[in-house]
Amino acid sequence: MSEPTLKKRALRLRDAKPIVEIRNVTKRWGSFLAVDDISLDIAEGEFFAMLGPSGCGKTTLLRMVSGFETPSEGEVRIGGEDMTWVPPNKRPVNMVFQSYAVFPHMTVRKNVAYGLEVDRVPAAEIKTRVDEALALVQLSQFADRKPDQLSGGQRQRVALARALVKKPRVLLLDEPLSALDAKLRDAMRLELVKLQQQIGVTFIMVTHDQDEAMAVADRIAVLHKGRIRQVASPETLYQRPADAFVADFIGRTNFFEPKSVRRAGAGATVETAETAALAFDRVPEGDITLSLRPEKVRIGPEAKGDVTLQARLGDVAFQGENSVVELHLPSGRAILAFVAGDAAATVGAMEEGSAIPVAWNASDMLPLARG
Amino acid sequence: MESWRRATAAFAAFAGPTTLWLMVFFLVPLGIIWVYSFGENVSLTEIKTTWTWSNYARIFEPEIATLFWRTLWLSGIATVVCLIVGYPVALSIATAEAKWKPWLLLVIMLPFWTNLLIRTYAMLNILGAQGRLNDVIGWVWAAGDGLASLVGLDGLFGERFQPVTFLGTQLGVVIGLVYVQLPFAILPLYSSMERLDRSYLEASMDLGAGQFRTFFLVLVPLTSAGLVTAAIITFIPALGSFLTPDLLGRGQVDMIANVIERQFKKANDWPFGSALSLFLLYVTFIVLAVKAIIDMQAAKRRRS
Ligand SMILES: Nc1ncnc2c1ncn2[C@@H]1O[C@H](COP(=O)(O)OP(=O)(O)OP(=O)(O)O)[C@@H](O)[C@H]1O
Ligand SMILES: [Mg+2]
Repeated sequence: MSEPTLKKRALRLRDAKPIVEIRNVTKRWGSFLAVDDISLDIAEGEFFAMLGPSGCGKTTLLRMVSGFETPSEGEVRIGGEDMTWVPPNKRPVNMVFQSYAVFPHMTVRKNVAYGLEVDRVPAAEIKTRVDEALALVQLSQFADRKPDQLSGGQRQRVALARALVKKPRVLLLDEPLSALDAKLRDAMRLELVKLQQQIGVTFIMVTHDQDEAMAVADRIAVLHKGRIRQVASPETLYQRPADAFVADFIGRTNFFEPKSVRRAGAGATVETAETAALAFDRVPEGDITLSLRPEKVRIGPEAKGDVTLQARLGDVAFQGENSVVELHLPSGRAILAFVAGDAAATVGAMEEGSAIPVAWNASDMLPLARG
Repeated sequence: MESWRRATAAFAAFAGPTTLWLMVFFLVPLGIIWVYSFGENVSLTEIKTTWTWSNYARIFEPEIATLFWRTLWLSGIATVVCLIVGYPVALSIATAEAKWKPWLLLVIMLPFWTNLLIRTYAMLNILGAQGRLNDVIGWVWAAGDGLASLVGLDGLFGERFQPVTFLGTQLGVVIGLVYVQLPFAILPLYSSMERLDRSYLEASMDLGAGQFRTFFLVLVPLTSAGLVTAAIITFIPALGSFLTPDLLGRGQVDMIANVIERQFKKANDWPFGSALSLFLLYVTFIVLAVKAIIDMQAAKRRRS
């Protein structure tokens, strides 16, 4: 998609009415808070991702939307109706399970038809809708196979077709790509995005893989220990993370611990071991740290910026077009820098431990609340 | 798996005693029985091997054939009842909270720790004309009778309570067989449910099926292997039951094992007893062969 269509899509989604409303939802297992007072609106037609480290409560939250768990407190509304106590078989949502759960005793066609048969849809209509759904996921020629004669990727598409054939208002996906190998995973990401745009159904996907969430979602909710840290578009999450946890979880970053913080109104002057006093207009309350993305760090003799330092070269790791370079600053702190092209070649030729000039702009350092 | 070929001595050292044990205490007696089954009694203590088929022919005489059918029939009924009763029990254990499971399984296995003879005598106490089961039925009868008189339907359920006769009837024997075999049915059913990925059931519900259809369209087919194992593990030992029909059947509901015992004891007809024993063994093999064929075809269907 080009920039303008992306913008248009974002605007359209912003104005769309919410299809899923999660209102102050809390889930306790005994005394353990798996989901802690979460509120979220998900727009009709949106591709929404819930992202967070293992055990942060993503699956639990998704299962409360599907109806397999009931909230200890709060309310889940779907399509404007309170669904908090409605059982899963009566909700207008369908789910793609992490293990796919494609019924092994039924053919692909039977699997896809299952949800229509239990709804007593007329046989002729079942046939056309199943054929459509199979065509949509490019499985038409596998209709009569049993699941154990399919690859992992094909089984996943059966699970997709089986859920989509019911024309759900919301499709829920729990780590749909985690069981696939890396290459297939990348291909399926693109297919999921294309599919979602083609049919326009709201997708809510759970994942612990930030690259995956960034690649597919219109908006991402970052969860940590049962709470939402930030809900925003992938670009916003990367460029304006709400706090240090989000900055660290989305992409990679360098943190600089302040030596002193002198507040003045909303802003503050912050001094670190590496930099002179820097003035910021907006500084969050409480304990803060400064975040600097590795691609903002320039290195080499021509490196310019309002912070300049002499560093020693550490490890260099080549990663495709980028190299990840470790730099030891005079203060003793080690930071990461991404370098590309010629600079990467220059650095690659240098010996570990040699002196190298490092520079960056103070404006690229973001003051963030410590997570 | 190739290594044992090279370490022949070590292999022989480990496998030798077991092989010897099986030879001496299993194959040799079985061979003796096999030879006896082709013999004839020539005197009270002497059997002559004449390679006659007459012992086997006698199995098909109406009296014995009827007994065989009854054995198959009673074992079959008991198996079906075990599956129907055992399935929900296994399901509730499999879906119970993790901390309860070991205790529930313990309750199922508890009877194994008591001798079968003692348990069967306990059943006698329960099933007798003045037994505990009849006490319960009596209370229910009294309550029903009281209710009937209240609405003016005196004597709807008969003048007096008639105890149900369990002992010496097929019903009593089936109850006994079910009682003995039920744990054997529950355990394989439980393990097939325990292994089943919960998300199949959730997927079924998610696609709009209620509990009932999820049960019959997804749970039962996906635990069919457990059902077959449970059926076989119930049916085969039931075929060879001796104590249950002997005590609960009061000699009026004999099964094949009772007849076999009589040949070796009272009737002193070892050749016929041997033929019957071997025939029972062959029936068992046929049952197992049928299961093997079912398994093979299931595997083939999956591959094709
Ligand atoms: N049925 C349950 N009983 C008790 N605790 C549970 C139950 N289900 C989940 N939890 C706990 O709730 C927390 C959140 O679980 P959840 O499955 O939502 O995590 P998640 O974010 O999906 O993690 P992952 O990425 O590992 O799948 C975990 O600490 C988990 O141990
Ligand atoms: Mg999860």
